Amino acid sequence: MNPSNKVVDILLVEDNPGDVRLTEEALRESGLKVNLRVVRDGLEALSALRGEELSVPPAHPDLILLDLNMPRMDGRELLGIIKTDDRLKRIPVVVLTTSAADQDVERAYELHANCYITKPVELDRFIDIVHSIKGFWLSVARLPDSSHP
Amino acid sequence: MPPPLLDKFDSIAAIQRSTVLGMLAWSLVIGVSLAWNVSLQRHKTFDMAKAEAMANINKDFAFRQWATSHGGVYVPVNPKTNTVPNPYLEHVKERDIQTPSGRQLTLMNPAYMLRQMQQNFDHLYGVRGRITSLKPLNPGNAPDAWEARILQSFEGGVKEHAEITDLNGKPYLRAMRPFITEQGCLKCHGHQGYKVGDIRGGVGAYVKLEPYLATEKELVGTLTLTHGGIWLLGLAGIGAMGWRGMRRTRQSQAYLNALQESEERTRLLINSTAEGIFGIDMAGNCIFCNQAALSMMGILEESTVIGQNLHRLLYHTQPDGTPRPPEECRLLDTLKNQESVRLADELLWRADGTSFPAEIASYPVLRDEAIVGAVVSFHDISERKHAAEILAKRTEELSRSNRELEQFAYVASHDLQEPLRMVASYTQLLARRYKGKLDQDADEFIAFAVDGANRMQRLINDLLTFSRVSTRGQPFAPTDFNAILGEVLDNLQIAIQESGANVTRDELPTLMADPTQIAQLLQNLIGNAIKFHSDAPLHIHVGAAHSEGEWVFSVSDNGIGIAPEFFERIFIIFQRLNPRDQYPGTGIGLAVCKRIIERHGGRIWVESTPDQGSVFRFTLSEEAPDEGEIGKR
Repeated sequence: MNPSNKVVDILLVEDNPGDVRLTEEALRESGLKVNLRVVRDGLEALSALRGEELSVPPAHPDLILLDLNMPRMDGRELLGIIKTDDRLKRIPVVVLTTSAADQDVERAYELHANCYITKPVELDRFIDIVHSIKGFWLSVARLPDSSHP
Repeated sequence: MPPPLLDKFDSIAAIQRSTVLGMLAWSLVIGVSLAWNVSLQRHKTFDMAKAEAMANINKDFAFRQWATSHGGVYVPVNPKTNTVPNPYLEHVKERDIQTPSGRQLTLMNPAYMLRQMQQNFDHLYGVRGRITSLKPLNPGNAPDAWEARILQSFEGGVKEHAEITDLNGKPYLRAMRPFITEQGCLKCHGHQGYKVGDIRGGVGAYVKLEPYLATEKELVGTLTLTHGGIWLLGLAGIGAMGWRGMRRTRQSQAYLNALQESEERTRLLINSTAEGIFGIDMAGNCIFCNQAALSMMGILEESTVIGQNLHRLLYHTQPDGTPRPPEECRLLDTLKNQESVRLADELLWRADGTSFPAEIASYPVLRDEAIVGAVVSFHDISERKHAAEILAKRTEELSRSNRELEQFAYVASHDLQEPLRMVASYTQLLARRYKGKLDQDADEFIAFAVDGANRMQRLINDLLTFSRVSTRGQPFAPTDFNAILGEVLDNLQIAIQESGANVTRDELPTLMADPTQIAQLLQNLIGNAIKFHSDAPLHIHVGAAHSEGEWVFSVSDNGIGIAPEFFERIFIIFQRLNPRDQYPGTGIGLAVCKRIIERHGGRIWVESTPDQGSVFRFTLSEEAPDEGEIGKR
């Protein structure tokens, strides 16, 4: 059950700051109260999820928005790790990437991504999609309790 | 040059000579025959005349004998018939007697009797008779010069004489026989000193030869005619044979000439061709060699080649330098199994040891279904190989260049996407967030920036689409164009409805093609037809026609049309004919269509009249298009 006034924790794994900002703006426009935490690649994401950095609290996101093409550790690798980690595998992962390649889609689902979205080029459409992510994942769908480790 | 064969035939002159000789010989034979026959005839004439003469003479003889046997005959004296006592018989006792009734009778001696008969009655039998003697009692019986001569010969023992002589200008056969003194003759002639057995004189006869000669002439005439006729026939026959012979010779000469001419021509042909040609016998030895072959082998004289074994001449060594045994000579295989052999790329050796690549083939020569030899032809393919190598290299370079270009286009447009997305997205965000919040200038500036970014995005997308025609082209598969058209019309449904277009279609075929690209193609063409409509109610027709192994498709409309000077330009990438604010689009649609069609191995073009409409046509082959390197454009 997601009370509409509960703040949603979203982990955005995205290396392009421009895309990060766009996502932020889109989420803001959607009117959702979102606690957005941004990491720049797979390694940072893992570190955040596992609470490896002592100065930063570990991340317990309700949803992970995952880009695929990132340096150091890309989204596929991270996906593989998350979805086989007992503690992390329950977190819904929405792959949000510019790639429209069929093999990327297949691979993502093979690695148990919950959903694959190709980022549209036009801003308006992107905003719509973010709205629909919110509309589906954060309103319609029920999410597992993220507070349980 | 082989020696002329004319020597073998008799020349015309020789035949003419023989003919003439033949005719002469024939004439001679006929002449001889005629002459012989004529002389025979003459002899016969003579003999017949003589026979007549002799018959008469014998008759006269007989008469005389008879008269002599009676010692003469007493006849009545009759001066009217000149029957008077013979004055030359005065010495004879009882020359004249009288009958008891008083009739006077006188003795006629044989000669007198004969003479009288001859004189008075010879007209009855036509032969003049004459009795004569060297010692006549009656001088009228004296011989003339001829008779005297003959009588003399009788004295000499000649038994008879016959001769043709002239008498008074007319031909006569004169014959004479001696008469012998007999007992009865002595009565009147004893006193002349004759003894029994002496030649008393001659009995002669003159036979007029004219009738005989006339008959003879007739007969000779007939003979001549007959001989003449046979002679002419003979001449004609010989002439005909001669003429035939000459004609045959002339014909043979003509045939020979034609043959020689034909042989010359063939030789000329064979020696003019650039292909080297050998004829070989069953042992693999050369029996014939043309000019091109000689020059390709670097040999001057044909005679050095004739009789040589072909394998040892040309084919003795393999390309790597090791000798090739004759048993492995594939050219000579033709001789063994009577089938033609083609070798596309073999190394042949020249007389000086250098080699050249050649395409070589051998064909069996059959006569009456048995193999008698082979013809080996070859030509130097060094140039061709060289050209092929160059072509292959160029093609390779072109392909590489193409691939690189495609890669570049793809990577460029792909990598351009991201920064472009940033520009486009943020300008759009600016527009959303700050429209109306800044001054009007700012609004305008933002609007231009956004518009620019959007257009750039579309351009890059189109560029990507364009390059993907090749890079993402799917393999060709049987494609039902009707189904594809259906999908496309579905996709364009809204646009069709909005424009109120009436779309009609022919029955379309199923061909080997890339379905996605065909859909793209049709969508572009029909989309254009919808976009560039005129004020007239829009009518679009999709058609297909089959002609000579290919299909010609058409998309026609009654829209604004295109001016002829732009018919080529519109297919160039990003070329637009109309201002951006009038008609949207980047100008890539037709360029993509053209690229798609070219990938399928077809052609695309437009026919149009401004303000009336346009027809875009493209062709696709019935057979699967070649998907070679060049085809993947």
